[in-house]
Amino acid sequence: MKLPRPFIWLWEGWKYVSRMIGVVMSFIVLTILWAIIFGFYALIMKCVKLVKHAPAPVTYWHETDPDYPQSLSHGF
Amino acid sequence: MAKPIFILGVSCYYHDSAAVLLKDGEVVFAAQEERFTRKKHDENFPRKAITAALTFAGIATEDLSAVVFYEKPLLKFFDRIITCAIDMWPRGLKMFHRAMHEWLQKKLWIPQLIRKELQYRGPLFFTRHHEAHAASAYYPSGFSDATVVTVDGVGEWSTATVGMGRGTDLALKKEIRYPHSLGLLYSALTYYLGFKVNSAEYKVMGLAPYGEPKYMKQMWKLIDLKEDGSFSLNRRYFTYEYGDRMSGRAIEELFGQPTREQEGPLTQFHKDVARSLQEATNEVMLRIVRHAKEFCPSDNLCLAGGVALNCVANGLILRSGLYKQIFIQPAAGDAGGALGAALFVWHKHFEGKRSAKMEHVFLGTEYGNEAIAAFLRKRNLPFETMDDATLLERVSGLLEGENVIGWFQGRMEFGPRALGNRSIIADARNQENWKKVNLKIKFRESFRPFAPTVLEERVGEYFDLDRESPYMLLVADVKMEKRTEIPAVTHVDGSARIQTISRTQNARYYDLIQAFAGRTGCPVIINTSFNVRGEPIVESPEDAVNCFLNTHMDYLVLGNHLLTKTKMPEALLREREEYLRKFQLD
Repeated sequence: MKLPRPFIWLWEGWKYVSRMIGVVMSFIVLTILWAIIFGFYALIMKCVKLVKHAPAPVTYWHETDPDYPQSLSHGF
Repeated sequence: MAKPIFILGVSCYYHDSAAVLLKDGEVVFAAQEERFTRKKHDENFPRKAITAALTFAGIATEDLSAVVFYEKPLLKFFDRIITCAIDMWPRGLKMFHRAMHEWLQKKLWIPQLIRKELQYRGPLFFTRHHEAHAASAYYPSGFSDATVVTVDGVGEWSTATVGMGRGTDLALKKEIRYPHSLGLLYSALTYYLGFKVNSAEYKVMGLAPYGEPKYMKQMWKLIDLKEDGSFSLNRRYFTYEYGDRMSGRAIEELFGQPTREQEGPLTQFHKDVARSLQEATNEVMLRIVRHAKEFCPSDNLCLAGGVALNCVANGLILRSGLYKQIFIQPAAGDAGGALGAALFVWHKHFEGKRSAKMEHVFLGTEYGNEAIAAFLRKRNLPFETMDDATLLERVSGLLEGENVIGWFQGRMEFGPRALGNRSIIADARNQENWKKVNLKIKFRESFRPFAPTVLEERVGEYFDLDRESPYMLLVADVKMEKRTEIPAVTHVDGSARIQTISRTQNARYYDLIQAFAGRTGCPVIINTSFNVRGEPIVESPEDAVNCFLNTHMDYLVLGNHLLTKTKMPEALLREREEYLRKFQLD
């Protein structure tokens, strides 16, 4: 179905406005997420680090995590 | 007859996206997306490379038995990206925004994107990033067992791994974890030296021989290296965990100079830093492979990951005598991840027989003489067509002296090097050719060295190398008495990044060099990639002609057709600036 031209303009305009709203909203939501949720968790982690003193490691090599069954089928 | 098993390996969304197609464990086709899109290091989904692969094999997506992605996106996002954002807090808000946009819009939906792009409903697999690298080095090596070492920027968590391959089994045993990364250290210093990250690291390697290792003290402040090759970066000096840049003020204070502007003047200081970085890299790599041999003992070593493209370090490993044989994946960077991922699934999931040794990298697209002639006629370009013997005789004659020739033949190479099918070639005996090719053909920095191609059976006459080096991944010294004979490929420190060629690898290129040797006595020529600075290596006759017309190249050989610059229509030779502007400087 072909819409009359004014409707197409309206649709294009709405798409642009909604994209802008999306940009602003995602900025706000992500900033809140980062500042509050991540911030809270990060502060706890930093406190734990301050208390817990790890001795200087002899090596920086880590054992690799073993593959679990069917691991190839998953993105994790 | 049983239906063949086709596996498509895909790497993308970081840099150097690529597609590799296996048929019953053998590589049928492999290519990077950048060659088709003409965008260097293109990271987008390799749509065109996949189409070319399927067309080459004459199959459709429904014929694929499996598609494999070279990373585990969910592991990377939830385990590393989120953890690092928390670890960096309160720094890194900008980077967090960027990462979340990228991941939420695209990278978290990789399975869905692959299925949508390919209209594919079959099995989809994921390997770990370093598993893919390790597989890309071990399975095509032809070794029955090998120590496997991978070193690059970063995958999920791993930045370097040590493992063992035996038969069809391959297992990674140890790893260094992000943010401690030799690849990222090299990239950070590349950035500090004013070159483009994930692109121009090889320039820093080429710059190093001009300098002295005067900054080793500073280097060892950046990296704490243990005797077993494990290392930790001093995070104080790096900003890549939370910033837009790789390094900042701390590193400038450490070295006492500001970060060099891109295209800014190169001073002795920059050369000395490059040399110091190279020395540190050599030391780390040597210790890693030494430890790897103790931990996963074998006489054979397989190397992959971006750092394995550092042929200076590779040369040192070879000369250390730690291993009897070394195989380095020619597409050692992320493009090779597509190959490794596909091979890993072939061996681990399909339990296929061991893949054959990778003998060459001519695995890409090909254009026949008829198609090339039709294209040239369409463009109204004058050309001569000759049979094989006449062509080789004529071109070997043209090579003598100062002519620079575009050489476009057969199937395109997979990986970052042009190895004789998409190459610019010239006479290595003429010092002027170094300047000419650098400044008038490639339009690149004057310090950059050129690699030689030498007939495999005569490599020992010219270089301190006793074995083949078909992928230009080993650096060795030019014999003292030969340095004046081939000055255009002898670097300032007397070394060269060698490509040996045998007739079984590439008959036509071998025959050309042999014909040149017959005329001149010298079995060595200059071989550099067929492109200008910032441009991906040419893929098609059209790309080759465009590059030819817009540079000072003298001749172009497309299959059996020869084009002469002086015979080209004048009007076509006037758009050079516009052509060069198309490619972002690397």
